[in-house]
Amino acid sequence: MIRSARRIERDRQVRMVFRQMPGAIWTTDRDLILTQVAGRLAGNVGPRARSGMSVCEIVGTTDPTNPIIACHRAALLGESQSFEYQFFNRWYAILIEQLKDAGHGVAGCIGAAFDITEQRATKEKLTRSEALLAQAQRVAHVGSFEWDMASNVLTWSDELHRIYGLEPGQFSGTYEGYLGRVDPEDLERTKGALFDALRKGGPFIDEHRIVRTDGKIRVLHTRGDVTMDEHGRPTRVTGCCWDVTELKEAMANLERARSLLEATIEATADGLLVVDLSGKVSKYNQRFLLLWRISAERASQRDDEALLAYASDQLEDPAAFLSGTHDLYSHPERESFDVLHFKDGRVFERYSTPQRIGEQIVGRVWSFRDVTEREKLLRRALFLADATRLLSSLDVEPALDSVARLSVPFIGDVCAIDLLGNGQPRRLLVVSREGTESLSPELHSSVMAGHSTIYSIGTRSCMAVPLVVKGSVAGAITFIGARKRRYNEHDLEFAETLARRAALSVENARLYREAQEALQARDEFLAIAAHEIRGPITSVHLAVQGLQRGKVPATATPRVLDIIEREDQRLARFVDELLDLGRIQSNQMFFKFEEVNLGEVVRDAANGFGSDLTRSGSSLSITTAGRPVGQWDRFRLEQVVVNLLSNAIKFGEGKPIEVNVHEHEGITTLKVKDQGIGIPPEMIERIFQPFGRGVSVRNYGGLGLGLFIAKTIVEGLGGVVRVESQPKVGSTFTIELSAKRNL
Amino acid sequence: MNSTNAPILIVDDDDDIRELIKVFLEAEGYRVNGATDGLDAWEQVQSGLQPSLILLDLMMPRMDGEQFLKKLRSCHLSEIPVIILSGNISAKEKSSGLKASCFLTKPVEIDELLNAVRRFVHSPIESGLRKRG
Repeated sequence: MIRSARRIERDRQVRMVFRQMPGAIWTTDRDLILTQVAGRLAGNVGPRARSGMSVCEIVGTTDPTNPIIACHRAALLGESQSFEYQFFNRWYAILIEQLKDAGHGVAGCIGAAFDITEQRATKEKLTRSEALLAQAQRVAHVGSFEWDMASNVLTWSDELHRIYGLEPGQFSGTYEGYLGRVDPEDLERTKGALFDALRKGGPFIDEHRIVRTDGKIRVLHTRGDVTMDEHGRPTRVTGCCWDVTELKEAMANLERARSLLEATIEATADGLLVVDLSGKVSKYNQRFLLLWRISAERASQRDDEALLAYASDQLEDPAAFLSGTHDLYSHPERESFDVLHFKDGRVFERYSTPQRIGEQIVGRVWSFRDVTEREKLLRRALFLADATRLLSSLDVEPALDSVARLSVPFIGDVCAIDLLGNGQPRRLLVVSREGTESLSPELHSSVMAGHSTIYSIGTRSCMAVPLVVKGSVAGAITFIGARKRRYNEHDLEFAETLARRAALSVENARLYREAQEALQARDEFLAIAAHEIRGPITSVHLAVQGLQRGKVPATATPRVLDIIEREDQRLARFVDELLDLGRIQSNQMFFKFEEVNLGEVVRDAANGFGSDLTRSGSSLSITTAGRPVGQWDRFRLEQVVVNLLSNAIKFGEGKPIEVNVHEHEGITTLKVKDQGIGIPPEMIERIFQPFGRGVSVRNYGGLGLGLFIAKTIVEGLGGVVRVESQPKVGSTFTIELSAKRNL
Repeated sequence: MNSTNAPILIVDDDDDIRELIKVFLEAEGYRVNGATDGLDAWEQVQSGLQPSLILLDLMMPRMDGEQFLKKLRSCHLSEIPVIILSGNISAKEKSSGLKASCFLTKPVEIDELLNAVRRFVHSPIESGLRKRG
């Protein structure tokens, strides 16, 4: 009983188990009529399944192709059926087999169904996540691996295959196969890193190059994990690999760009400062510190306001600088350009532009350029341009005055200009800045010797530069510097440039004056020539007409004929002189050399002056000594002697004229001495110039060519002409000729 | 018109011109005095010479014709006729200011010169002929 009660209890429990099992178990007869059925599924299928119902009834169809029906039929025939099937949104694993009776005959089917919905969902999830992983690996170029050390099986993901340039599954799957693909250069290091990781266990990171099948070298970044067994022995290594070749290149490029930027910032001549939006210093170069005279120590404190104050203190207008700077910080998008003037005279150009990352403004870049020298050069160039314009005037003294006014206070507080006339310096002007009128520089001795010089008067720095015209000192410019200003080599050079231009102006004015004088002399010459020629022509004209018309009494006829002859000679002489002038000016004066006795030439010439001497009242004495003979041109020499004699008679005021010819050691000297009006010293040079004459044409006639022609002839014969003269005492003309041709 | 026996004064620094004109005028019966420049002429006038006519060159040493004429015009002899005989054509333009009676340009025609002289002083020979006639 007790056993029976136990059995009943056990059966109840079994039934309960069957009833509640997540699935079903059932048997059918050979006609597929359910004979037994139990399990939760039985209650879940359409009409509740119970013994006596047919399988067709349960599946709701008699269609033999229905899988449930078909599988039951196949199981009846002895083929075990195992498949998955969905009932009412749940999946079941179904097994149907032949059911045998006690006599081993076919009794029907036995089937079992297990709810596998959850397992199936898990499996699907796994499959999906594997696919996702593969896709992610493909997209991210991340490959994964697993190395089972005991079996030495190295499994690569598809993407890792692709990273190595292989088709999925192509890799041999061994550790050695893997090492064979590591770049030989990295092989030892890679092995070392791996052994290290295996020894330590846990996560590791490595980076090495591999050689792909196509020969290309790629860089792989690996993060792995070593699993150890309970004895601390590595059993498994898993990990991921990234192809970081592009990344590495990008990083290298970035590093190159950064280093280039760094080098550029330091190499530029401009001072650079980068600040953030609030004006905090984020970067500067050494040049910036140097320009602003900021010590490295002060810069390292990074106290932005203190730096700004320190900078502004150096400027002429700190307030404007600070307000301008702060204004810009409140307008980050603005660019700016301004010029900063320092108390010590330096000038900076300041430029700033927003610093952007993409579209976003993150700060401001300032650049500072020291343009002091450029500004100085510019101002000097402008000054020189102005000075040159002023000096282009031919009225040189007012021009120098204007330049001196222009140079105060640009060059100094005082500018003095001296000009040299007749060897004596003459102070042309002194221009002083207000308050310095008492300063008047002495002319420094070395500047008169042609040397530029910097010197001091008391506490003041001075400089003096000569005005050099045609290699000789024509004057000087002297500057007294402003208080505290010390002249240097550059200042002196600048003053020299100014002096050169001033000297050029002095020279130009002189040339202009000379040109004007030459023009005037030519005009005068033409007037004189006309006058001088008109005289004899008038005489000849009147004389001939008088003779023709019987206006000349017979007694006067010889005198009139004499006049005609004399005037004819005068005209011939004029023409000769004009022709000689033309020859000289076109370099066509030629000589016929022969043996000539100068004493004879003088005597012959003197004979021709008989009547002139009589008219003038002068006496003429001739003395000779030695043998005044040489290879000369008789005709031309006669011209010279005639010229000197006629001048002596003309200007001799009727007083005695002495002519002396003497020869000593082959040098023949001719002296013609009168005691007449003499020549003023300032005219001495002019008398030998064409059209030059020491006297007014009103007082003394003649073309004024005589001495010029005489000098040209004597020099052409290799000799020299000299004159010594004193007004109202007389003149002595001396000619020296060598006996031999001396050309 | 003067026909006195007062001399004609020739002022010219050119000896030959002075001498030629003297020859021609003397052949006409005039009395002729010569002066080598303005100063010479002025000194002669100052020492009492009262010429009937003055033939005056302009460009001369010491005292030129213009200076001489100015002096002459400002003294008691301001009425004496003066014929300027000059090579300087531009001086002719100034001659109106010089208060000259006549202006002749060198080189001058002999008839032009003699006619000009006759306009101011009768030729003594012609006058004599007329008187006799």
